[in-house]
Amino acid sequence: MIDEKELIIALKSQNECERAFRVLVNLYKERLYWHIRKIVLNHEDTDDILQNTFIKIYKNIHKFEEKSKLYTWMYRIATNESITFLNKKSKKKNITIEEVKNQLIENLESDIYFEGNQIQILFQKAINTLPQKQQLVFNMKYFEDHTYENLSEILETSVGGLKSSYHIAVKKITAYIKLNETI
Amino acid sequence: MKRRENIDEFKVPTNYFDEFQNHLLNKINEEVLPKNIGFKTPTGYFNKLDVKIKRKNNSKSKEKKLIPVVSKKIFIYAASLAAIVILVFSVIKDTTRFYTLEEIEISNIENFINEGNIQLKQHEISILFTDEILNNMTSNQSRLSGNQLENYLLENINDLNALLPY
Repeated sequence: MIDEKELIIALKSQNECERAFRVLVNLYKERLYWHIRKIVLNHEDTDDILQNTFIKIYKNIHKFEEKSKLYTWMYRIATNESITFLNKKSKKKNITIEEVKNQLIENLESDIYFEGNQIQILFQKAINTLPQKQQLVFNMKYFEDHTYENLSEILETSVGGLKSSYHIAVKKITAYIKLNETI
Repeated sequence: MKRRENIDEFKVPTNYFDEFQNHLLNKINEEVLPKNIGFKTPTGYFNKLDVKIKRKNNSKSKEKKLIPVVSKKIFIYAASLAAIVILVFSVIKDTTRFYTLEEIEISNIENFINEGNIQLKQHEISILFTDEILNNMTSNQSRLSGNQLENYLLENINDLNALLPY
């Protein structure tokens, strides 16, 4: 088990930072990858955002004041990078983020790195009907199994607010799936 | 005999019973949802990731980052004007040679200030402007809409995380 404090010290030191960074990448690459992938949906964009996220972490580690846990800080950077990416895409195409995501969902059927079926596509469409922050809450709770306390730190929202947001999200998604499955 | 519902030593989290129904409904609803999302990655993708990141980081370090800052321009403009006035007055006072504004290079004035020969304070610069100009500057800034500001940040700031507290 790698001690977080020791890892941060190593990351901030000149001699050990490269070795420590490799350790950090190996520890978090998969978790952050899947977190980003659920927001931007395709592999190529996720790969790009994940690399940028780690580069930002590497360049800004000396500014990290340890007021939160390292992985909380990293998740926040990954989330911001992903949302910034969607915002840029929506501005460029002059459409809303929801429309950008709908296009990304439509592309899933021909995506070689997607092996889901129609139910899983419908599931993505249902998630996309939620407001952006509720999508994050749902994905992080349902798939990544974060505790509400962790989520509260990452998303800077109260535990009570997150619980009710997740409850509403599940209700909306199941209602959407039930309605559209029968059509 | 009265049935005891609670055992004093055992406690439950605050609001546990209030939230129980929601938790239960969530669990029942979640049962109908898919357990995975069907995404996969190229074979061996994670094995090569640290090398890719290192390569990208090295190439990014070579790029020069340029962030235009409007207020700095205004400051340099104002400082240059102030310097012109100060220089012209000092030249008139100390020598018989008279320099016109056209004879003084703006870049020379900027260098003169950059080298620390003049310490200009904000109020010293502001007296060079009329109230009307100053009001226009302020009202122009307030005319920036939320959308314009968002567009500006998205297009010109590479690292939006830098705006967030750590």
